[in-house]
Amino acid sequence: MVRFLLRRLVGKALLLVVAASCAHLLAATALDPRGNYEGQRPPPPAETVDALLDEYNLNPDTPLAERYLVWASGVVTGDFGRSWDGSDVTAQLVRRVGVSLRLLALGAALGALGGVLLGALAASRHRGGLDRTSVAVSLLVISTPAVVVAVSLQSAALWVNQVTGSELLRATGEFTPGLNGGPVAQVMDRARHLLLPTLTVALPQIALFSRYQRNLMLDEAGSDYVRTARAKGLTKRAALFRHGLRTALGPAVTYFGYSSALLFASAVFTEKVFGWHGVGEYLLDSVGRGDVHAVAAVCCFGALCVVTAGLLADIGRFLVDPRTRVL
Amino acid sequence: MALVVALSGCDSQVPGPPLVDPAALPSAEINPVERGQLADGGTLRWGINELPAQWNPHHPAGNLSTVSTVLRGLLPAPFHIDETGRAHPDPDYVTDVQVVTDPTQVVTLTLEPRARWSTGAPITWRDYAAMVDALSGSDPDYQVLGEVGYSRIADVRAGADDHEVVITFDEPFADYAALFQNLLPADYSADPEAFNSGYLDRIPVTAGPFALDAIDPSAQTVTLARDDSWWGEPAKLDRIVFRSLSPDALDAAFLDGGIDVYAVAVDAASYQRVKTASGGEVRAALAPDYRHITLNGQSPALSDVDVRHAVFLGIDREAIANSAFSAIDWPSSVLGNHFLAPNQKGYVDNSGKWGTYDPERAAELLDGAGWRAPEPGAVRTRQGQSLTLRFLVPQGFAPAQNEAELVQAMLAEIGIEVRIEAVPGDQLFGGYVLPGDYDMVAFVNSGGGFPASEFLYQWSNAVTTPDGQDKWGSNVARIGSPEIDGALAGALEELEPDAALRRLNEADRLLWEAGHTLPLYQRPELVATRTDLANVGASGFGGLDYADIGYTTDDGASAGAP
Repeated sequence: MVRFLLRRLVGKALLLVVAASCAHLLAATALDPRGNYEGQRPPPPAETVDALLDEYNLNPDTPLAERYLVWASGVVTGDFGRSWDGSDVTAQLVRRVGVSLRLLALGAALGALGGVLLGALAASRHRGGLDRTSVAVSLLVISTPAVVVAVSLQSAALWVNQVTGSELLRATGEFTPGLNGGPVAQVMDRARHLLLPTLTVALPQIALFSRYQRNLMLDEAGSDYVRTARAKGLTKRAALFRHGLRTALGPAVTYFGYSSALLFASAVFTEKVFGWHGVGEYLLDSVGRGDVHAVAAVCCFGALCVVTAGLLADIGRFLVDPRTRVL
Repeated sequence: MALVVALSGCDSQVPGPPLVDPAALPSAEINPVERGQLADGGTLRWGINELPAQWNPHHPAGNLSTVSTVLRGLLPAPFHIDETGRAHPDPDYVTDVQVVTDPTQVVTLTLEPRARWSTGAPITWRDYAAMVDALSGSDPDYQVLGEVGYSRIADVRAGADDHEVVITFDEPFADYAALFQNLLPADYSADPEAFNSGYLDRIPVTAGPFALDAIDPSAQTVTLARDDSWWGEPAKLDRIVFRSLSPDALDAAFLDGGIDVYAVAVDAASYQRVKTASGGEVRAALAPDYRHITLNGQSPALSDVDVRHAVFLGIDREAIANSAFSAIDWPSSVLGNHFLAPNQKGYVDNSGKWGTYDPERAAELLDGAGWRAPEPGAVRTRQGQSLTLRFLVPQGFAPAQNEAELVQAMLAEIGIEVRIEAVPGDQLFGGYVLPGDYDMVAFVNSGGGFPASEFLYQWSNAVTTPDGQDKWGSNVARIGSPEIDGALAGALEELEPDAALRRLNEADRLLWEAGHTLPLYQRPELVATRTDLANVGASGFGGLDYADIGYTTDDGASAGAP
């Protein structure tokens, strides 16, 4: 186990360094934060702009290698540099990761659990009513872009609020700013804000996972050990759940690991529509502003997520599936 | 004005509603209510477009309208600008203003002696003097915007006591009331380091009806609370919470009751969505800005003034205005002045013979300039070159794309081919317009009531450097003349208001004659608010007085309150 982990760890660390460097070099080559100043009417004096860009290590006139070294020496100490307007990228990233986690955690968990359960149930009732309905609905949800899901849910909530004259569901934000009240009121307020984005995250996840899990389970249904289990007198469903589900979980865990890493990046629409200031929004806004260090930082974070998720998925498979331990 | 009205009468080709006299449109719509009739208390949630990092409005990274919006309740300004752009001393900060012009201009401000910073220190002449030192541009360690006027000040001294500021000018400066808006405390303007980073991620010292309560960078909110040590009329509201959201989320938040007031984009989709909000309304007035098309006077085809005038005559500005306003219930009008808006004192339509849509005359001008069409309807050519213009639009901004397509179709009729080129929005100016790599571009001039000093950079002639190069700076049309500079300098130095306006209009006539930039229309300012909110909304050139904003009903005040 330890050797297995160490080998994985070293490989992933190398991968991370390469990915992070590529992120900075690409961002520094493609983006130019000067436009933030030059787009002002009237633009500030050129010398001032140069002084500011130099101060933040963002001046495109400085050789790329030099800028990279300055940036990398900061990153090693956990400092991702400054944005074009002087704000601290590291602090901003940490805050936004927190926001994204609060936005996504529940939805991702619900999505994975719900998807696996629905997929397993559908497989156990292969070609039954539940199976057919879940397939149809899943396909519909999967083929709907995330932004459409988000906007539709939001419009529906606004309509419900208007019709009922209540403020049952909140369409934007994480909580009501400046709300006074006891802890119960605060939690309820957060819950009302969280419901819609959680659904937006969970629905496509449930749809994807259920399809994936269902097909894995159906493959298992034809396997020797499930047939053996059935031959020993178990019902089809019991055989599938007791003997098929565990082996089918292995690939699902891997898939879950990688897909939750990508969730951060794909959450941008959920964040934009519902007004949560998370990592996805940070990336999109920063690209628009030519904000090199912010873009590099988010890409580094994304790389870290993918690598960590891969590692966790490996460990997860290691635990779920005894066959991998032979390696 | 008469010309504008006459135009609408004689033009039958343009679809859409007839033009109106823009002077008849409101300069402000803020639901004005006497303070005494307003409920005490309440929270106002105000939607903004970003959470700025740099809160020093005189720093290049703090030059954002959001910064001004928030600071209006927090920082002093000796003058209050009204909705049509006229300046009046603000009695909360300045009790008397004396101006002497002979032998040199001296402005003496008598400060309100009760006025204090949130640190407890009084506001004195030292704050004014330190601000001039910082913003004059003489010390390169200060990272400044380069605002016009401060470098014309010779010195700032105390008068009879600390509360009298004597400002002596080297050169006369008519727009002195534009100075010292968002006054900073001397602690933050006397030291470059404090100036550059003292207001980064925080607003350490204030002196207004509100004080900073908190900045929450995760939720991206800024909370102001009524300042009990304020010496003027106390603020009606308990708190103002500014909340940053993306444009679509702002619409949703207003419909949802998550915000009570925000500036709606001049965009059909947002407007249509928001005007249906229950308990809400969209307040509309003339905005202090106008949209225009700038022509590059140094591009090969447009270096000829006749070609530029042909472009002016070939563009049907009424049709463009109609198209821009068709979905937002706002009557369209066209603008005939580069400096003044029709609702401002001194406005004259100076467009003369260059402001009326006249494709025949445009074709004659092009013929005269040697650009001839090989066959009717074809693109004109001269010496083998075809008359093709590159029109830059920012990527992904649909209204600009529509506008460019209209222009493309109009100019095609007079034999000018327009190629629309979409470029990344953040590179439009730095990468294309400032270096002169374009033929046509449309954007907005936003003013604050001081047209001569605010837009001086846009019309000033090139400066010739020692090596013989012309430096155009921010005059992106690259068209200038000593006469235009002379008229503008006159307007800047003339302290008698009517004479200053005459010089301004003289500069404007010269700009029309030179074919420098075609003004299109003055835009509306749309602000969505709760119906029971008073003294807030579309305020034109003027600033709102945040102390007077309040709810007209106790229900409204308590609904907003926790």
